[in-house]
Amino acid sequence: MKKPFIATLTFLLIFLFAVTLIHAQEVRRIRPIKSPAMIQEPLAEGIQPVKEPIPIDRQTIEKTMQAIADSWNSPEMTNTLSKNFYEKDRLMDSMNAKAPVDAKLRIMSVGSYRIINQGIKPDPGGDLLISRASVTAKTQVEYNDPANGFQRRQGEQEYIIKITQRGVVK
Amino acid sequence: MLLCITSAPPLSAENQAPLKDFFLSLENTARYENYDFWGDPAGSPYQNTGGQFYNELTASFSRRLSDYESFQGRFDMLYNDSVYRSQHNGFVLERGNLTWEKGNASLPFRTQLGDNFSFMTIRTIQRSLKGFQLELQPAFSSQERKQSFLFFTGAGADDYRDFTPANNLFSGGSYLIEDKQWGNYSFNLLQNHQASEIKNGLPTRNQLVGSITGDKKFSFLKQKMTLEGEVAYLTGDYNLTADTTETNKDGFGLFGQLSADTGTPFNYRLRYENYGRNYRPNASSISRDYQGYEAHGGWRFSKGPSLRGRLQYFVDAASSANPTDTYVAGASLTGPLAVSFLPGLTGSLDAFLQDAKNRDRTTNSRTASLNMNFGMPVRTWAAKLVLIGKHIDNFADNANWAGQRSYETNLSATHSIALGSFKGSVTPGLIYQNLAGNATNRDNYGINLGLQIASMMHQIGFDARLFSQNVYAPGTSNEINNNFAFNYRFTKGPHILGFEANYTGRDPTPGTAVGQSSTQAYKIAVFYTIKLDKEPGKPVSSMFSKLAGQPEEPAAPGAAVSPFTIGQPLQKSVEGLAAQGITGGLMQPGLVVYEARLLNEIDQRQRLALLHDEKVVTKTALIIDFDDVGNQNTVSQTFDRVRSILLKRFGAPVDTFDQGQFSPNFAQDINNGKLIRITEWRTGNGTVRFGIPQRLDRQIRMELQYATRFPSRNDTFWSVEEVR
Repeated sequence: MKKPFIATLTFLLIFLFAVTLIHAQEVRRIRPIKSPAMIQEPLAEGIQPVKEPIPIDRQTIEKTMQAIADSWNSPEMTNTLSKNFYEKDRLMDSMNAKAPVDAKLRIMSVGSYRIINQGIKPDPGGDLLISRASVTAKTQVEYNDPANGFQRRQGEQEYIIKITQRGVVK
Repeated sequence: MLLCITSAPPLSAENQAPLKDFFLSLENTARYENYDFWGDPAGSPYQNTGGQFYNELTASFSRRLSDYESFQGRFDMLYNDSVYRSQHNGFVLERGNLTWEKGNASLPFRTQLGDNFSFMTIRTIQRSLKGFQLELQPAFSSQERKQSFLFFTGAGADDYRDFTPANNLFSGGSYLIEDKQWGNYSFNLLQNHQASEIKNGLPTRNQLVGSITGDKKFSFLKQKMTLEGEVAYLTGDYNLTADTTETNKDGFGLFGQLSADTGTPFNYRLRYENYGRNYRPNASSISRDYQGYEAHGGWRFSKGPSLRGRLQYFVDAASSANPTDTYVAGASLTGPLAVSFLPGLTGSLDAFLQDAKNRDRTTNSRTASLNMNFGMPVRTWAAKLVLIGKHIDNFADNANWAGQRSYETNLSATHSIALGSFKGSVTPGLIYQNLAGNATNRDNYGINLGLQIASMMHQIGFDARLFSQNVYAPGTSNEINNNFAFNYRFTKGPHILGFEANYTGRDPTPGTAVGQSSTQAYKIAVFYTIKLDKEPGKPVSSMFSKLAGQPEEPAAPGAAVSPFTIGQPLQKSVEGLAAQGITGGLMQPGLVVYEARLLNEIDQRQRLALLHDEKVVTKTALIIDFDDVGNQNTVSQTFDRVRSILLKRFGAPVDTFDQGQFSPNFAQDINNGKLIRITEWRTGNGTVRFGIPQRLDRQIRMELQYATRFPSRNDTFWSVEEVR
């Protein structure tokens, strides 16, 4: 009776950890190289390229990762995932139906991170810096099995996260 | 790396100061943690005890050589003596990247050495690699058309210690053309080599993946439509499990999607995916032997809520003798809910029904789920209620359970608090869960308390959770679980000092039922971070100037805040205002209110309030009314206009926090704390804050305040309540 439950959970965790790698679009798009021959175009709707890369401090990354962990296995999780997250509905359905109700995600450590790309969205209230970052983190799913006691499932994943900040563009 | 460095343009001889034209940034964090537990080791979230130390140093630089050429790099180095941080001890280079972009070459290029993100499509590759990447963008004569050649090679690895690319090497190329009239099309090719693994007995594996993609926007029956598709093909080997491999296989992957904006509140999307039995690219996360058919529709109501529905059909193990069919019907509603006797109620409802069965009926279940999330202001509290219900009916042949039910209620409320100079919020909460069936019978009770407070340089967070599981099955244990977390940050200039403590206790009763006893575990951590940076044009020594003295303060706000002086005697302020023609102040306990138009550019009513402690002015506020709070556009435009006036006067703000959009229900959103507008400027003596605060009397207005301290931006009740 217990084995299917654990097997199901294991599947769920593998599935979740696999999809955390997913980028938010189906295919690549040209990130234009500014040149004399080409008029500089927005990177996306209303997004301008940055003149100089703007560092994102570790605390911001760690806070974002903690927010992701806090929302895991809660109704808030669907808001944390990108609108275009690959198979978002299927992931949320699996979480709803199969994850133990008391399962939590603990961040064991946040490893190195790198900004993949950045853009600026002009705004009257102060320009928005939109950064897409790759973050490596060690995590642990924890829950209590009344028959087998405390359960831990460790993993190390790469997360692609989007951070929007105001007040950092000078 | 050497190639890239030698290829990079040399420093100009004109620059006398070394690195003068570079942007430089250094961030170092030293962190010590201590872990321990008592009691049953199996119950501890931390299995390694004792002191753990690591130091992270991130160094980055960039230099813009012209409008079309830049060079930049970043290195993440770690000194590690912690089992939780890395598998390696000692010095580890975790990430390193050098990027050179040159748009004024005959062939514009961007090249990266070291860590790069290689992405062609989600069906071929999307992952970080350590290696080399080159992108060429030859220009067309027409600005309507762009093209890109992308080449890369590299391996997936966590760091550069024992870096052996041949273990898992990806090499690929992609051509992408984007045409505003004809659409976007790409051709992609990817090769992956995996070395043999003695540990798992796996042979050397190679696979080749090719794909063609296209997407086109067009109009059809007055609808704006986007059609996307991809055809992919894999030949070679892939890992079936951790220790088994399929060799010399080939398979197709297909994807198609049609999205439509009908020009009405209705929009829809149709999606198709089909991945063959042997289509399993190693750098992609898609499932092999899978088919998916999906239809999504959405409706935006004029008063704010949006409704979304979906019908989905998935087939797993599609080509096997025993495929699993999954049917899903779901709907969700989000946004403000117009319930007249519950003003300000917002929420979301999400429901789905899922039916999954395989051919031999060893899997045959139906899952129904309803998830409701409500929020509304209740007096001075922001209340939140979550209701979750799930039913799983199991019809599988020879199943030893028929059904499983679970229900959850989660109630919490947030209130602003002030403790001396600290302002913040407190959030108590309750949880009740009821589970039944499939040996899950139990009632769970939980109580939570969250606290966040902050002053100018100090931030404190506290979180307490007590959770009791009460199980009604033989051979099982009840459990009481408690967690306490505390964190503190002290920030001054480039320095951040932090302390964190985390305690977890669990007590299974009777523990003998499962052979366990209680466990208490803790983790404490202290860290110190220093951040230094140098802007182009300044000498390297400017990086360290912040260490020597006080951080540079931005220029004090200009004329508009001259009546805003705080800390001086009240009488002197009143006289100073009178000298500027601002008279007739209405005296109230603790404040004086003037009808005064300090911002001449706008016509809206303005009132100036001086808050005092009978002797000196402690805070000043300019209260600006809206002309018509019933009109979303007027309010939004007025707010943006006032803010742009202030931005011109005060310059760039140090912090701006905007949450939510001005919708037809903006007043409710403000009063629910969902629509937040806060912009702040620092002065030598304090902070100037402008925004739309939440008020107890639910009045909607703008306020410009000047004070030494403000509550955190998450605390939306920062209005001068005394001025009505």
